[in-house]
Amino acid sequence: MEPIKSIKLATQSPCPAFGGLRILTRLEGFLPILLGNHGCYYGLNFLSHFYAARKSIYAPMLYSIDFTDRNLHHKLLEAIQQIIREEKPEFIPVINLCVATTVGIDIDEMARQIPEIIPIRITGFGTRSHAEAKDVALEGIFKKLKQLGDHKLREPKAVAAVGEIFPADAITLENLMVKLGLKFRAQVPSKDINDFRKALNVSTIACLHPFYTKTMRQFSEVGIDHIAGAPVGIENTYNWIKEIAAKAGADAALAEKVAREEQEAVRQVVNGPLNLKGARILVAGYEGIELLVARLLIEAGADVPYVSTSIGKSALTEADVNWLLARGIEVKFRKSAADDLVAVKKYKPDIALAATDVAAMGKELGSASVYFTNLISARPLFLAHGAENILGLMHHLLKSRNSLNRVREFFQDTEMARSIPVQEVQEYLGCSSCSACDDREAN
Amino acid sequence: MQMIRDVDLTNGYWGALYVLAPMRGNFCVIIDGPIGCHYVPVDSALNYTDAIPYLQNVYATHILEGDVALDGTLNKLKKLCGELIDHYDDIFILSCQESEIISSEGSMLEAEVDGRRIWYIHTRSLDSDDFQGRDDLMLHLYKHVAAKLPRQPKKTSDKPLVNIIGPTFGNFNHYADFAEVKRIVHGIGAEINVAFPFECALHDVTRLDDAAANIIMYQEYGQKLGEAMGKPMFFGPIGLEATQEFIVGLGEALGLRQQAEAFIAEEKRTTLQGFWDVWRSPHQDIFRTNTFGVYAHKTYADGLSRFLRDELGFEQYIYGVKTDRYRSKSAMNIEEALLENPPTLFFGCVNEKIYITEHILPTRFLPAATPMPIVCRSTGTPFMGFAGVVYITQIVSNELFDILYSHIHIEYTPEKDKRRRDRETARKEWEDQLKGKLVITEVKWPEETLAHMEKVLKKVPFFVRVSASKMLKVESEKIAKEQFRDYVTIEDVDQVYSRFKR
Repeated sequence: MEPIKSIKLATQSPCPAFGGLRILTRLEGFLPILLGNHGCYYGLNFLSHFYAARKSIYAPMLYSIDFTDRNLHHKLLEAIQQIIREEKPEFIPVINLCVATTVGIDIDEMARQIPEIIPIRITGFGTRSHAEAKDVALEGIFKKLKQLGDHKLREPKAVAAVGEIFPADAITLENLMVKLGLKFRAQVPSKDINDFRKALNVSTIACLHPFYTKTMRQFSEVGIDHIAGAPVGIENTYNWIKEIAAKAGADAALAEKVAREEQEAVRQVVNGPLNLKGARILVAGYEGIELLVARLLIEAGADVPYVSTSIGKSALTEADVNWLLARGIEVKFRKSAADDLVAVKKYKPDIALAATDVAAMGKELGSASVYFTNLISARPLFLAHGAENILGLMHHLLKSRNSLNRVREFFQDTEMARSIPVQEVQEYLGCSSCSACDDREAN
Repeated sequence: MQMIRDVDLTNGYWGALYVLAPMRGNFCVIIDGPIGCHYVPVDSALNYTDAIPYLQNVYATHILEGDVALDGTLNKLKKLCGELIDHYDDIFILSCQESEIISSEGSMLEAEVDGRRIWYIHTRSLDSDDFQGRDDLMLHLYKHVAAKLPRQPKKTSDKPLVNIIGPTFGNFNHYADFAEVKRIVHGIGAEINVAFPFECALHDVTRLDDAAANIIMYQEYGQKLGEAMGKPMFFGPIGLEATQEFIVGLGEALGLRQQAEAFIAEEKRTTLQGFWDVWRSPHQDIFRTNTFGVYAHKTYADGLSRFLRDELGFEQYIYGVKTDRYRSKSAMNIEEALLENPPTLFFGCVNEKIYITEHILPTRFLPAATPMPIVCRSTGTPFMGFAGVVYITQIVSNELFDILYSHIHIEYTPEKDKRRRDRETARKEWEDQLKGKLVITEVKWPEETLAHMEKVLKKVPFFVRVSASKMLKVESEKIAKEQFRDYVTIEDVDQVYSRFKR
């Protein structure tokens, strides 16, 4: 039985509001308020407390009778004012979730009445993925700062980066900018609102993740140009350095020299003992960096047949997508869980980098799968050091296949809860008994 | 209207989903809601509470903007049901807060086609909490759904039959508690009829009436069903007396009084032997001189209070029941309670763990409620039953001793060199003083600093207060001297105090 068509309806993503909270709870001096249903509060708090910040989120209990209350707006304002008196936050992002948006709670009007409020609208039916909700949150913050006039001290030859990256990568970027004779002013999102203020006053933005389309519009409106992509892998490293240098006004000869050096360093790693020839890796991410990761793996000789993401196509993804398509790779935007599950079955990868449920299925199939967020997004990716780290991880995973198969085989004769029936697993592995698989691996 | 910090109770939809999802059988669930209502309870939360990566028989309408503004979800539901009805005997459509607010008309799809059925469950998510959701759905399955399902044959056994009602997905530590309750049932010579919904098939709902008694695992939900069945009810017990009452009561109701008493006697010689030994040992002394607080769901809040306070002799500083916070107007401010009187041990969920960390309280946190991102899948960690008595005693004992060990003297390796230099300087000062080369001014303790030290010491558990007070005094003076001051400040005391927590 394969009723997979039915789950195809959805883009795979947690509640988009989580993406917003990930940005907003991490900002010091911010006190986030949710407007919606207690079911949403519970789930989003839970997720945020271990994937965003150990910080409280406030919310009013709203029952159906409250939604018919004509004084609701007024009562909410009063409650928010009381919180301001008690907690004295610098900013209050008020996030309208599905139910509050549907009944039309007017957070823009609230923001006009209380200057601390940053109105943010994120719904499960309107915002397409949690990555794109981060874009909505950033847009909201930048709009607010512009209203406050925090964008009027433009500095030439200065760069800021937009996109959540591993801290070591931020240092890498800073060092790289110094080499190019540029100033690296800020990396956002961060925990410091001043970084956002700084970003509004640079000359060039490096948009590291390709879903920040609304945020880039905010920068364009004040005349700040941006470039897409990031210095990941051989080709991208060279191109990205050249492009940022040109946009930000660095010396062209110097840029060429730095770009060549860094590219050579990446090439040495990628073509060295860490190359991945003969390994098949499936890259199923959800926030755009999977395109860069896939390129790096392919340059290292891996066979990457399938790349998927939860975000939508935009000008920011164009270069990477064209590169992948030119190599005949299947690229899926707005993928569903079903797309990934089918791809894992179809391509039989050695490693699947995917969301939790797909990675779980990969493990059942004996593929050394890992959760994208915890393992890939949590390590450096840029330049030679990043390449070394990611390729090293892949080798580590490949080595772990024996232990994985040992446990998998232990459960093979029993009816366990599974994503896929045992018979399919055996067909997938192309053998009838599991000890044979291990033999195959040993050879 | 009031803003609530970290809402820790969810809605009726979650409750309904967590009752249906663990059951076996050829049925599926359709979530009538947007993407978050699908992935948050199923992938995000369930993955971190029950460690379950994937639910195969859950589908969703994934409400989009057009559905909200124009079409509603009826067409999507129709399409989904059409696809799924060939594969499943029963389809349960669950309403969510969003489909309720747009008044989705899913109930129009309730139908029976060629022996296959579509059920619409209005979970009242806008108004109810997840325990009400569980309560209502369990009763609904028994009263309305069971009648349409094929009657399952009665279990043939010469032993009396007992139902276990609950757990569901998303309880705290329920795998272990469930295992312990089953162990007790078998121990007194009874047999489990249906463990609903945790270890049964959907069709087993038709066998619920075959049991002679019902064990309701939690006071939070399941009672409505228990009352409807009309058999004697027993609740999951925590503590020595509670467990004894539970076993004797259950035995009596099943005509197994003698076996029940024999089981208790045997337990004292086996399972409880460890408890008896810990209780006789010095461990027990520190129980009676320490404090605890609990903020959890009713069964755990009451059970832990009864056991730790009434049987182990702890002093109780905080008692709170989660649902009360929402159902009553006199909501407890848990953060305030913690600050006012921080107990040595605190049982709660991730929110309280954060408050304790945020305020740098000395209180030790022990997980005892959802939401809590920890895996509780071992069956060896029960709070209920006699095995629970041993386990709770063990964890509180180890936690208290760990506090003690954290005050045992240690030389931190990175500080060794500095300490040595300090000793040499001090020796030289002392020698110079004796030789009359130097006049040392004593470090003074201003009144406010002394008062502050008193306050800080109160946060330190009683049984380590003496050593803590000595350390505070000596170390604070050392800091003052290093900074060439002849008086100790409040900040010096705090700085030393924060080291205690390592």
